[in-house]
Amino acid sequence: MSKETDINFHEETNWRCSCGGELTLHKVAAHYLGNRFEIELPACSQCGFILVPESLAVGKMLEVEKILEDK
Amino acid sequence: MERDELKGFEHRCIQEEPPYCQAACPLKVDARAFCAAMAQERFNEARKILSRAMPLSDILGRICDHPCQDACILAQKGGAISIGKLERACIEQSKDPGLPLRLPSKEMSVAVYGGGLSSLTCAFELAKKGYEVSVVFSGEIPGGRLLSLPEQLLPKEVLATAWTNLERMGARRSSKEDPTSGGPQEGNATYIGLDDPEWSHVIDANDVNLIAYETPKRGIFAGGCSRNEKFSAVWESTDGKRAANSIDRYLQGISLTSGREKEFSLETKLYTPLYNVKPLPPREDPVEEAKRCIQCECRYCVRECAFLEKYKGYPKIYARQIYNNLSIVKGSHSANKMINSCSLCGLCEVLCPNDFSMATLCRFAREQMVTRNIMPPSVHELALLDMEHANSPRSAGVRTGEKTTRALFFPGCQLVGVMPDQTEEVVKHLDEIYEGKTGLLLGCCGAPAWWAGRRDKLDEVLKKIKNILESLGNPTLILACSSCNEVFKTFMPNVSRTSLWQVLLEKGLPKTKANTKTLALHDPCTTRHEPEWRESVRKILQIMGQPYEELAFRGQTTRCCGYGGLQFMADQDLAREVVSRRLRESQNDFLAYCAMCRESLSGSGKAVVHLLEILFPSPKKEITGFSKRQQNRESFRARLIGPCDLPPESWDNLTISVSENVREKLEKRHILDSDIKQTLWSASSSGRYLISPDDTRLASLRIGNVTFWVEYRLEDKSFMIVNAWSHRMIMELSS
Repeated sequence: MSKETDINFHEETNWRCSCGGELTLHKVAAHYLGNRFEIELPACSQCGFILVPESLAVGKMLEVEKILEDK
Repeated sequence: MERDELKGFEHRCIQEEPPYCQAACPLKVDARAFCAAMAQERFNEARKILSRAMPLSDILGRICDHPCQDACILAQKGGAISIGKLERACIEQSKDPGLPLRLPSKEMSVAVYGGGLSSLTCAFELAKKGYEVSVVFSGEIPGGRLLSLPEQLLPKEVLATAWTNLERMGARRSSKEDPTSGGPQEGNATYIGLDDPEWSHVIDANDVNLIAYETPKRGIFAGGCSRNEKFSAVWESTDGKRAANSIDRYLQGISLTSGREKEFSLETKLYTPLYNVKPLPPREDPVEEAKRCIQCECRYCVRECAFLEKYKGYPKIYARQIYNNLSIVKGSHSANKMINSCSLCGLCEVLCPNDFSMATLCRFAREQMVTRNIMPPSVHELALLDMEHANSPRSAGVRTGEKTTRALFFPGCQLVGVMPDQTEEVVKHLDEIYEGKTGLLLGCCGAPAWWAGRRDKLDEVLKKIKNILESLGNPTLILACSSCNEVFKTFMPNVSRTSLWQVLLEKGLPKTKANTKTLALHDPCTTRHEPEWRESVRKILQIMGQPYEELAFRGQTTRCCGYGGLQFMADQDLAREVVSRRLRESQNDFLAYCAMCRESLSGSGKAVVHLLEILFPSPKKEITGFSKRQQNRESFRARLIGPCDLPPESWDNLTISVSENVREKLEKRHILDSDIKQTLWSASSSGRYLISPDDTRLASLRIGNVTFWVEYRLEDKSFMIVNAWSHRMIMELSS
């Protein structure tokens, strides 16, 4: 993955899942316009609910979406 | 875009045309750059600029008769720049730039007759090009008629130095006696300078062709003729320079004239607006005088448009960037944002002396991007979804007149969304004045699709409207929005149309009181070419006794509010800048007569009122926003046409509370209440969400191309929205 599309996220989170599971870092695939990235995001260890935190969604992720849209 | 089309666009922009001074100079000295260097006291740099186009600048720089100065447009503003004086000052204060580089010897020779400026210039140019040059003149030093100039004006020493330099460049003195004897010889040519009295009788000046400088005798060229029976140093120099070019071509065996149009032309298409130039009187000090130069350029459109200014170029450059953006196969389409940020308002086209239209160019580019599937999917999505909402059965519909439908009121999607109460009053008023013969058509005209380059969606919308109009016997459309008018005018020119303002003016205004404050009148950009719309509004204001201020940029040159062309979708910061520039044009509060102008201009520190809010007063409302506009459309439809056949959505009845701060964030992030409610409904039904120690919850749902996240707290029977965000990427756990 190039530096401009690096969207890994390693902040601590207080969220837990409504199913009772804890959120731990998981390998997640992000897809957009035919592109696929492997990144690490907090996800529920029981049901797999993936959290996309606000700072990531409106920050780096948005930036990468725009780069891909202009490709 | 084909290359020819691009050339057509590029050609219209005159920014790169030479300034008036340079065009008027037969040698093409860049007097604009020269003045800039002089103003900065960079005399050596100024000398280099002179010498680049002016051979033997040490001589001519002192005695030039400066046609550039006669062309200077500052003559209309305090006085032309004294370029002649500046040249002389430059020569006196700068270092001689030294001898020019000489090309390798061509082993061909030219005999130059005369010691005048034309002969010296011709010899200088030919020596530079590598010819063996022999010069024939009498006396100690050359000069021809220049020898009779006062020492103070042109010291003899300067002429002597010029000759020394020519000798150092390989020129030799010769004493051939008759330049015209003998026929042409291979690899040889002759120049006769008629500005040296000694040789002026050899050829009749009338026999010299002043384009190629040929004489009736093959291989013999001449120049240095007087112009209008006067000697002109700059023309003597030009004759020598151009004749040297002809001789070079002659000896190389190529056409003497082809491709030399720019060298011969004294014209420019440049246009420099002077309306904000302060007249300053000429100055004695050369540096101060050079500082008066306004560095002529056009950039008329750029100065008056925040969008054109933002990208730091001018239309010719933008046309090239857009062409490249469309041609690129691999790599980043870096002009996408620019193409999508134009408000398509058409101001540039009106200001441009050559009618360059960024709107036409950007519209074309957007349609091409859509066709080639390279339009960024996120940029116009919300506007297109909003258009779909406005044309869905929940918001759109038709109601015929009580008796017949002679006219059909089409308020447009935004008026209904922004001002449903006033729109309802208008409907009642029209029912009254038309005695039950007006119908009502709710929906969107398709303008957002047109602006987004989606002709397919626009055609779909227009087809439906056309069918409705036909089914009602083609009644006249009464339009409240000038953008709708532009769409119908362009794509359905045969449909009978009139403006609501014209109707109110002709059929009767409601009884109302004018606002006592003077309001700055903002014409929407889509009335730029609609004088009748603008006139009707002014007449209404005058009848009502409403005091209003005419802005400097009004009528044909009005400015966009930042909504046009979906500018605010592509570049929110730019749209905000457009609004604040517009509002800075007046101290007064603003008066708009387009719903979106009212909405866009509001919320930036000034009260903005819509004409209908004066005609049909109701409690003042500020900005409505996307969600509220959609709700307003739905309830307006239900009130005036009746509820639609579709069942309500299951999440419709959820109650959410949104603080002002969060509302602002939602608008900025393009998140609608319906997105939030749907996300909450899904979380409640599935029981899947995240929860924090303080009992805040976080729900997520993919709707269409977007994943929404809603952070909320449960309150008594309602959801308090704490935050929301979205992204377009799809996430999956890697196996």
